[in-house]
Amino acid sequence: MPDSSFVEYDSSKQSLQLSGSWTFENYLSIQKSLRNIPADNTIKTIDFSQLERLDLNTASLVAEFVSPSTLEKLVASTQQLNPHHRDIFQQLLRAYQNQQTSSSEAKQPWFAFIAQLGAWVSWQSYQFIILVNFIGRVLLTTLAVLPRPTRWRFTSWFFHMQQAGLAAIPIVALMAFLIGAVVAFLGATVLKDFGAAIYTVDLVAFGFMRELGVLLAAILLAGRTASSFTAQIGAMKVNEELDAMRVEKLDAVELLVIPRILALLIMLPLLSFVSTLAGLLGGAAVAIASLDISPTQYLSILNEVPLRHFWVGLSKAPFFAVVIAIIGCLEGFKVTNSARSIGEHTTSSVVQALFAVILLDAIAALFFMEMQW
Amino acid sequence: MVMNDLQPILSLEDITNRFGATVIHENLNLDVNTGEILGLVGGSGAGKSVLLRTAIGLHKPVAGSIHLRAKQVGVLFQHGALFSSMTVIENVALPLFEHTSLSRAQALHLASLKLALVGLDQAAGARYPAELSGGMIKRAALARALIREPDMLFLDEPTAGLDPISAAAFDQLILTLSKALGLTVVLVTHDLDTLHAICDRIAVLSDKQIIAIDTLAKVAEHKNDWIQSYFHGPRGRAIIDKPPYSQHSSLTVEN
Repeated sequence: MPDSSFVEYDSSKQSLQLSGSWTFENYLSIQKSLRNIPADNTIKTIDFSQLERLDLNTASLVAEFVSPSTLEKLVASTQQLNPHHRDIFQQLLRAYQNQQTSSSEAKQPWFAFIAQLGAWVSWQSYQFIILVNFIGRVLLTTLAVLPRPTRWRFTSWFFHMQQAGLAAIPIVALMAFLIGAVVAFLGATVLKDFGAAIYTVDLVAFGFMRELGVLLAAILLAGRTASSFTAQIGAMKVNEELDAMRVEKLDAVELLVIPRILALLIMLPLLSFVSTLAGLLGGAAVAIASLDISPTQYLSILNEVPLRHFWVGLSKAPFFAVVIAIIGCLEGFKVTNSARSIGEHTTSSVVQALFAVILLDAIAALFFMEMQW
Repeated sequence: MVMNDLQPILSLEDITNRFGATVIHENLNLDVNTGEILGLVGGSGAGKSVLLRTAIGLHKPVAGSIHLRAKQVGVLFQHGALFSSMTVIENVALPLFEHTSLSRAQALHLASLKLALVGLDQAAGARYPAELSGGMIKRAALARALIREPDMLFLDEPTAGLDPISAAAFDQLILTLSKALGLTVVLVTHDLDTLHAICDRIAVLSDKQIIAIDTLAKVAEHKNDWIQSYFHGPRGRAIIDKPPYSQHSSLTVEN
């Protein structure tokens, strides 16, 4: 049974005899039989005559057992080696030579984290410069394009208005309706104890007009649209379409970024309006169904809320729109040449857009409070 | 064993493939003999890649049967299809991690040998696929296809996008490995030099069928118009008229 032992060692002749089928299925068994041979010896000859099959992986076992350089001599000197097997050994020995000529990387010292911190800080500052640079480019291009209606990209603009705006209406409305109901329940629970359940209506009205309406729409757009902008532009980058545009003297900012920004600029205020209405409706549903407030009562309370709160809320929408579009597009341009990079930058674009929206909203809240608007 | 070798390692019988109303293959038959290098040629859109995917089992034909007698199959996809979230060496070692009981160190060691075999050094092994050139990706993908010592290799345009020197070296590597290891190779290519240098037989895919399958010299004499313009057009003629690399020396002796 040749399979039982793949290799035999004759200590008197210092010779190895290889036999049987040296295929990859037997790799571990062959390795085991080689380990049983005492290591402290020099092999003078290898008898390959009984070797039935050989592949590269198992050939490497022989090579590492006797060392590649010894194997080279032994293979060169032996006569009874099957020419196919000789080819395999020669390919393998060439591979060992390739391996030797390449150098391995140096190990990092223990204080490498300081260097990494430095690299991180300089990377982040660089990212900030890129952002500012990009905003500048977008502004300049916008100024250049605005007075020339022939260069407005209507098709692209309307396409993105539909994709980012119209298509988002159902989900924005549903989300705002549910949040409106939740706020009303929350208000009712707390205010009932003071006998002021009626003020639930004011809570919902003020909340949605000033803050929640626009904030909910912006958060949804940050998740839905910023990611899609990044993925669209990133895929174009991977496909070298952006390079092709540059070669053809087409401005990527003018063709890709401005229609997207303008689309959001139009659609986010409209979505905020939808979201505000839906939120008020959600509040109304709770108020009418479980707080015994009649629809007329609800509307008359609503009517007493000063309209400026609505304008204060809506005034934030254009800022959110620009920030979301710019972050989404810029992350798309930052994609490098791989599919993995699209995924990374899409994640990063959503996180940044959400963070920016909430940060801006907080600053705006402070500002409006100080101005007593 | 001898009987086994005479049996085709891969036979496709009456394969029909259709995408919607478009018929790609109709009652197509193809036998691949053990140990040969078969070149599959055909016009762009003739369905070469679909046929390759059908043979591998990635695409289910509408009708027909596939008999694949290879125990282990390696595939080199057209764009390498390296897993982008892993380094090159991890890509090559992944089949060993998943399918063998080798330790991680052993698997990585074998993978680095395979990378060296296809001409990639350790520095390249530590990089991610996105950081490699097209030629390096092809080499790394070949190393991954070879890592489990397959008895059959499918190559989809192995030399597309390589410079002539790298392409010739790649051809030579495939030829040597195939003959040394007894690999059966099926390759889709548009590279006439590859067909000429390493293919034992050429199969021509045209009009939804394999219209000719034979040695290059005999296929080139086929009367079909497409074959005539393929092999005797301005690009083809230069190849047909010169002897293949392997016969070069013997021919000069005869002269």
